[in-house]
Amino acid sequence: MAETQAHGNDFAGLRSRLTADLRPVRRFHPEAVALGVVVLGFGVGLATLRSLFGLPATSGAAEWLWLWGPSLLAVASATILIGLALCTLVPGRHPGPVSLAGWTGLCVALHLGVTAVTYGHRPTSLPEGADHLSLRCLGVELCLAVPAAALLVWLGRRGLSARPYAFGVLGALGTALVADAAWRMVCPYTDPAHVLASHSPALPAVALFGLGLAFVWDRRQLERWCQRREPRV
Amino acid sequence: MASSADLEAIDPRGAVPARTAEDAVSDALADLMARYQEGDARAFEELYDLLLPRLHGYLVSLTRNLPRAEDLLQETFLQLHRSRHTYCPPRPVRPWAFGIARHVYLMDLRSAVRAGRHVEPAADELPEVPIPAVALGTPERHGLRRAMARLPDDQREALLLHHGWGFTFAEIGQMLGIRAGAAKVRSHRGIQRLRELLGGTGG
Repeated sequence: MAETQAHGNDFAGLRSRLTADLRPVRRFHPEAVALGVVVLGFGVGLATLRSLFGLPATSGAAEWLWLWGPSLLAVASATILIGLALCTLVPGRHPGPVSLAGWTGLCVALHLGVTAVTYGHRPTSLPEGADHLSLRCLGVELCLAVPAAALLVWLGRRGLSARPYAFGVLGALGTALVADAAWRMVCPYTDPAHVLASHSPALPAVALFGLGLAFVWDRRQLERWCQRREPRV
Repeated sequence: MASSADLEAIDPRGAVPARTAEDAVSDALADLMARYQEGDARAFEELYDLLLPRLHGYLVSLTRNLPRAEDLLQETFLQLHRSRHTYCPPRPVRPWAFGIARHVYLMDLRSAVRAGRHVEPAADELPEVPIPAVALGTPERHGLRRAMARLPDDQREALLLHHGWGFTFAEIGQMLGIRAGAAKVRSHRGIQRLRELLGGTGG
């Protein structure tokens, strides 16, 4: 207790400064943020795509389940990935590398699995000479995922980033997977060659975008730290 | 800092008992932290008093330098205040607070490298940290502190977090961003290395 009192004297100024700044704060809930981003992004994205391109016709609940069910599963796994990425912003709650790598692997496996399932149920290939549709698919996915990833990183600024790069890459990858799932419900072509060439490249591209955002954020954080600390050294 | 009663409670085989004084403190901290988030000044004062010696000891163990640890302690409380909204009740407060202290320490290291600033050399002995003497079956604290300072950083950190402050390996894993098993291995290797060092110096 004597030691505590000694420290208390040393830190009296800091203590009174912090006491003067006391006010209620709104708690940061990584899970709620993740769910909010995914539900909002997926819902708005799907509604927009539906109004622009329409949805492929399905001949009943069974077909709907086979074509859309795997995509919804991919959305659910991407939500968990985004949640794990956001957990890296909470001190003392960092998921281990095995969890992060495991969920990333599962999400990528689901991306490939959805391709196999949808192609197996309804095989459709791009028509001859319709290469522009490949670019359209990639463009739409990037248009959906890039703003969502930017929004996620912006929301993530409320947290305390101990691993900004892991957050940036995994959060952006999660939003890319959600965007991919939404677009896959609309895109009528299920040929794996088309998917791997026109849909899948959006995933590493958006993950790299997230890495870039994280780099900028980390640099700024470090600069602010240096500016605050250096005068005292 | 862990009291002597806490240290006595440590099992010689390295297991932490199910219910220690730190658990009672943990419950109190969670309640205080929730009230602190709501702007309760008294809760903040109590929280500050409870966390200060623990965070101080942790920063001393990380920096092995008292003046630097005290400097970083101030920064830790500032950061803790700014980031208080990131705590989610009723989760344990200590892993969260220690995580912030660790973040502050790492940011300071990075800023020192960036600015080309010289970081003061670490002391040969670890002052003011809870030494798990009972866990090692030796009462020789002075030699222990010296031996502790010679441990690799990662082993010393895991060992002290578990045996000194009573964190579970799952909590340590989440604080350090590693698996609980990896935290256990680090702590165990630290104990083995300590035994070697103490055996070699007659401790």
